Amino acid sequence: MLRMRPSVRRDLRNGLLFISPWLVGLIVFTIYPILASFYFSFTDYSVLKSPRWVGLENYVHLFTNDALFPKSLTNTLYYAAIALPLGIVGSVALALLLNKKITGMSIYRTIFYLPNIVPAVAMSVLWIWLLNPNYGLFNSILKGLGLPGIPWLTSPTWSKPSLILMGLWGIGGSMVIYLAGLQDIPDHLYEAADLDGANSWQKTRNVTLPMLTPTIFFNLIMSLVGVFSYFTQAFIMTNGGPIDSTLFYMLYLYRNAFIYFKMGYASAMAWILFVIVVSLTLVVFRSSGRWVYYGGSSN
Amino acid sequence: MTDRRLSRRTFMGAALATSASAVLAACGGSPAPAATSAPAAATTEAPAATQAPTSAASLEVWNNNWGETYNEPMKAIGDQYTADTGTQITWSFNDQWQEKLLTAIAGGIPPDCCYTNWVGLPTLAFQGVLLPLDDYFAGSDIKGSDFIKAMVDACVWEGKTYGIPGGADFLVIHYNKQVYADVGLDPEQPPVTLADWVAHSEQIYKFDSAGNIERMGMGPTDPGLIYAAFLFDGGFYDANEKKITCNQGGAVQALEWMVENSQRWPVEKVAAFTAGMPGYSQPNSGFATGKVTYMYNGYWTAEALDKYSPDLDYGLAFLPTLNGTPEERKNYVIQGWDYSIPKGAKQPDAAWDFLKYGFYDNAAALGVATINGNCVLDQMDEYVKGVQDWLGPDNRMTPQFHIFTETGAAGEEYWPVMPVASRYYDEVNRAQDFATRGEMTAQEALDEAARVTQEELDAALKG
Repeated sequence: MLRMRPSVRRDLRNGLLFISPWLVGLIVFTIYPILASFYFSFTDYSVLKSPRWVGLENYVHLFTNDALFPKSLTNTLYYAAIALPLGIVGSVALALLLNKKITGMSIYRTIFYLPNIVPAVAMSVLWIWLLNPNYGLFNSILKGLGLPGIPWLTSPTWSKPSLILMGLWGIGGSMVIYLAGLQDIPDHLYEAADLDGANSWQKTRNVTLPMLTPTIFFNLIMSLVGVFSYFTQAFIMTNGGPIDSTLFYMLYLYRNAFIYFKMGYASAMAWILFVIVVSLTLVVFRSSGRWVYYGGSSN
Repeated sequence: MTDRRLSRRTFMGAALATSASAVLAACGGSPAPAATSAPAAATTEAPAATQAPTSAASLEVWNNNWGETYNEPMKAIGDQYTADTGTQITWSFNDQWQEKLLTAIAGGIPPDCCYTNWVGLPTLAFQGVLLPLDDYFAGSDIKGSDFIKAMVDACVWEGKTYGIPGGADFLVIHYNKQVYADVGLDPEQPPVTLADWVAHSEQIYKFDSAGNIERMGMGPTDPGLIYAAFLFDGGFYDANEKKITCNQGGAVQALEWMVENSQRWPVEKVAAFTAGMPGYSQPNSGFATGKVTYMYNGYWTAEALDKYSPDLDYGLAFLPTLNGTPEERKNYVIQGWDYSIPKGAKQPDAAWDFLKYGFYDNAAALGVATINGNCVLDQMDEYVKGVQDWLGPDNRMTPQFHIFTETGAAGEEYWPVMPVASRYYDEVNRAQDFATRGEMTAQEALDEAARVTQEELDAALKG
């Protein structure tokens, strides 16, 4: 058995006591609910009645007998597959543009960051109007250009692209992180590239982007979690419609939990989502050795 | 100098107290209102009915959030109750009332009484979290037959009554007489049959050169499958067999009729036309501007129509039926909202006293004040007079108001009371959406809705 000196034991005890508010919070509000939801995922549980053990029934039903489960998962994957890369490309491009040394740059940066401080509900209401087929700004522009209007949120074809478009409005948050990453790139690398006669594109391609990959990696992981838990906008703007085209995973999970009182079933959905997100995160982590470059490392 | 160092004992105590406070603060609910007299024990069983209502210092009442227009009159009823009894009513209005109620009941801190509705009540009753009110009804000499039948039947699950009807929706067709005149229809002859309604709409619909709608008649999904199924003598549930029946007979015919309509007037075009259009309670609503000719709604529309469209020439008509006979009006759906007492409520007797006061003793006054349909039959005359006084003798709606009350008196149908009422409602609406957008046939869509719901129902009943 490990024996500690009294002073070490005292320090450990005092340290634990100092962090005890956080520690208790973590155990009661995070670890316990996580473990409880795992147990509930194997039960028939409505919150209002005692849970009844059903084994793998919830999982089996999800995979074999619930048409809305694959539908909601497909919708979420569609959104993730387009919104995620588009968001990264957009925010990196924006950061590159806003990294120039020109007058008033801080104002531009502030303007692009502003949408991030708008609450999701307010933003959703605003975009309902922007995307309005009759009175919305987007269709007004299209009509001004002589193009036909788009039914946006009212069409199952356009509803998801509309939400992806709306998501791009919030790239200012990632942009700030990329800006920090860009400003961390040593100037001497660019000077060396200049001496080698590199043009702007070559400097971006061979200096900026490789040096920015740790930041891209970080944002990718964070965004991955974000896109799979996409909820608020769909809940407010479309409530899953038309014809389930915006029934995202979290929205369906929420309905099961709070509208249909199937908390056990919703817990099973939550754990499946957890496995998906963790798996994808592990894939990204595993692949990072091939494309993430840390300055000063031997790779 | 005073030693200001923190002793180890003090520090440990403070740290533990902080942790415990954080947990308790997050877990705890609002304090239960104190009762001036001994409240009935918080019980999960039906209380003794014959005892005198217990008074309380205050009652916590949760309602749906309908906005100021409706919340204020609800508060006024509470104020009146306070003036009469001394019991304070603390209101809480919330859009997500069901989610809030669910977590409060699960957390053991339910309100004294709460709003429910025709979809939420059966689901909550099945979960066993609402107090049966039968003994209270009996103890107050109130009978189910005192209320509009559909409203009280919608509160009964497995022979027990879990809610007292609060407000009923008497929905009728509002139509724009000017549009009728403009297209050559007789403004005094609104549609009587469903076929009339379609025929009139075909004359009314107006498209631009690109095929976009400029003026609408009936919507392709009007009046909604929930209502239309009964008009075709269909139904949704066989309570004896515990069988989902939306994929049989009239319900399928109703959806097929709606599919035909959506082929005339595509749902997507209608959705694009009406998207962002101000609602009936706002200025320049589709109906007020003549862009939408029909509106299937209750008499609460009068307020906004008088305020924003004083010159609009509109008429009221019964919802058209298959053959246009008065006898078919029994197929109208009457639904609305109710009030229940959650199990675990701290003051159920006092809560009942308030519910009886608001929704039985003063039902007509409440109906008038909240611009809702009165549910107590022997107060209907008082209610009609109250509404007509509120509207005023010169109001356009006053001479036609009887259409609302006759609709309420005639309608016998309601959404089935069953454990998975919310899920079924969503599935039927999904079926409507898929079929009218041409993704499935009416039969396929309703078969799928029936299959999913039957499985859910069987599982719920088995559990």
